[in-house]
Amino acid sequence: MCVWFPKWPIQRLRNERPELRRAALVLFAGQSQRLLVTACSPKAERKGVRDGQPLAEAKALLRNANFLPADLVADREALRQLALESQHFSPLVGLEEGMPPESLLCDVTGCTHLWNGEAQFLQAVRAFWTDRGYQPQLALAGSVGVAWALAHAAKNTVVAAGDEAAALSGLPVALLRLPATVLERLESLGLRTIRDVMALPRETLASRFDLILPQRLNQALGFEPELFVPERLHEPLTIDHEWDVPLEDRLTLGHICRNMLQALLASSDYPGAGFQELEGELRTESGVVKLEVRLVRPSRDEGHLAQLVELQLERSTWSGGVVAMRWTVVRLGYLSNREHNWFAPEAESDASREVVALVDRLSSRLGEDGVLRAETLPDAQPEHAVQLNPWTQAGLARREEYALAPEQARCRPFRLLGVPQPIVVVTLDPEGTPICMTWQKAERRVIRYWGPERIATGWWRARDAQRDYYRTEWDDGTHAWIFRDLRGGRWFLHGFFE
Amino acid sequence: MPGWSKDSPRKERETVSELRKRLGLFSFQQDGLGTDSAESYDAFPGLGVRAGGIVEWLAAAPGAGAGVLALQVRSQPWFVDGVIALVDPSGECYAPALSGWGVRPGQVLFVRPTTRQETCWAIEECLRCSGVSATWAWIEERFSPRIHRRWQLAAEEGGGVGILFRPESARREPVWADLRVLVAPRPGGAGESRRARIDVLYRRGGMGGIAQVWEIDHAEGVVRLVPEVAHSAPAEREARA
Repeated sequence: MCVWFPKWPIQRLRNERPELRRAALVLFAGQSQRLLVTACSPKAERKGVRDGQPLAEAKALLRNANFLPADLVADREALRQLALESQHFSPLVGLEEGMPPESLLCDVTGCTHLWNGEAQFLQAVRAFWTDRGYQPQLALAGSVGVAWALAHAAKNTVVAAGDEAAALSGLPVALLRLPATVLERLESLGLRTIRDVMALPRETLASRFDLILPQRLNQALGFEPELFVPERLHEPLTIDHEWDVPLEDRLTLGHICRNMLQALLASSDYPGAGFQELEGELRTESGVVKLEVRLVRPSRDEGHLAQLVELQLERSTWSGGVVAMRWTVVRLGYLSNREHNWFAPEAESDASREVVALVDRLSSRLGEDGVLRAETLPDAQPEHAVQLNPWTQAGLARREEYALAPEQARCRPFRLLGVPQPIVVVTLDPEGTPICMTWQKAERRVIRYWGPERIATGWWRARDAQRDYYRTEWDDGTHAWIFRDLRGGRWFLHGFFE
Repeated sequence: MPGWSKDSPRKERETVSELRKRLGLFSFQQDGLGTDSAESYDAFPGLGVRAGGIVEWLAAAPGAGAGVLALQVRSQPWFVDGVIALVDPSGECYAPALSGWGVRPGQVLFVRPTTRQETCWAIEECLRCSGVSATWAWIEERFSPRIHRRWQLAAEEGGGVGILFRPESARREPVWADLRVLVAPRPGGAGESRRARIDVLYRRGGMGGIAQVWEIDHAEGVVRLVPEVAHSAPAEREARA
């Protein structure tokens, strides 16, 4: 059986965030200079938005739409969760091949009689997903190829054994899951339906087109088997080690950790999976010490993981000797085949790998909040105009970067004090033109100033801001950013132009 | 010396420029940000640093302009696009301001150590990483020469540039950097410009003791050297003679 979720990224997002259901939704991806539409809702399609279109064009066509970055990893993970939920109907459920997957494949052999027949079974599966807010298209057939083709042809049907050829014959040739080059060649020869292809001598297909065409045809007709990898709920990956004599030497503990990691890696031989989050527990004579290792990107590099664990050991303190240790893999992640560059798309991937390893090391030693990435937000209040997130934060997608206009950014100080410092300012008039101020018990004469820049915002927050900002030049040449709080009339120093 | 004659000053300049390029010296850009031509990155005597080196910027006062001036050491294209590690124990560096001077906040790793030991370790790690093109660090505390030597070796291994911002009080400490400059704010400047005086306190290989006044133009986003005006006294003496 094949269960297809058309426009899966859109369905996923709308199911997770119901507020996105009202307006058109457009997802995009790509590099900062060239962002392309990867998926869009039917409402957006009606306005002329198409997959592969530049984002700027889509924005011009749609004004009141939600534009969000695509997240392939989250899409795949959510579909995997659906596969696990589908085990309600069959123990063998997997994701289709190819990126990005949008369909679930289920082996329902010996399952349908529990629902009194195949048609009822299909109906039950359909009701299961529609009740959860999804819009699937399903088909049940004797081979994966036929089920996939019929599900994608929007024919919610059951194909009896032996009727595969008849069910397929009228369908477009694209539903054989062929690469674009083969489809182009078939199109140029006027072969549009599967019937047209089946009419050709089978032995000539491989030489005239590609090996994939006879293979797909044979798979669809049940002459060749087609396999898929079923999703399984993994057992927690844990390793324990105990010893009799309490150990205090950190080098020895580091060595034990390395051996344990080696064993963990050996026992978790899932294809394409790496460790992304590990939890450690040291049982000491005085209590239990918890350790946590999080990586920016999943890794199976034993040396790198061991280094991160050693940094955690360096950072942690405990009294007495250690008598037992446990390591658990809390989160596994997919090892990407293509090197994803977090910083600059053009930069060398080696350099990117080095930086990711550096972030892992710094996060292990300084903690998650010790290594941050800045995201500029369109908020007028300086304290809220930037958000700093840990690099290792899960599900942190690369967003469309917002940046202040350069001339506006140059009116902001390099050093912004965490808390504005109260200062005494002498003004020329009640409206507040600063001429002199006292800071750190010294009097500073203001020889020039630029402003005021009025910032009145944040009424939706507990305490809104109403401020007049001035860039001031003191008599010694120092440039400072000060503001007058319009509600109380008090003055504050907020930063320095370093 | 062959090839060096008084009647070919242009050739001399070209030779010096070529040697400077071979040594991999960074330089202040004189025509401002946004101009990509190689000519605009004309080396300024005495203020260069090689890749794998360390520069110390001592600030005489907060708000002197050391940050903006240090950003102008951007003559290499890889530096413009590369990753910058910003070790900021105080957590006061304001990311949105960086974009005004040509640095995308997305290319910056904000590192916030909480203890002296962590600061020292984090700087060394960032300098040693070959994927980081520049490591900026604000250091208020005094570190032993051994630590400075470790940073120096780490920078050489990593191949990036270390830019350390320190208070003026550090000028009495031994120098481990390739270049140590003191930035002091100066009042004045036209329009939205402001001025800062840079004293080269030390430069490996000589050329220390140079002082220049630079103008930072907030409206245009450029930094330019204020031309020196010849002292009037010698001319007056000559006239009297």
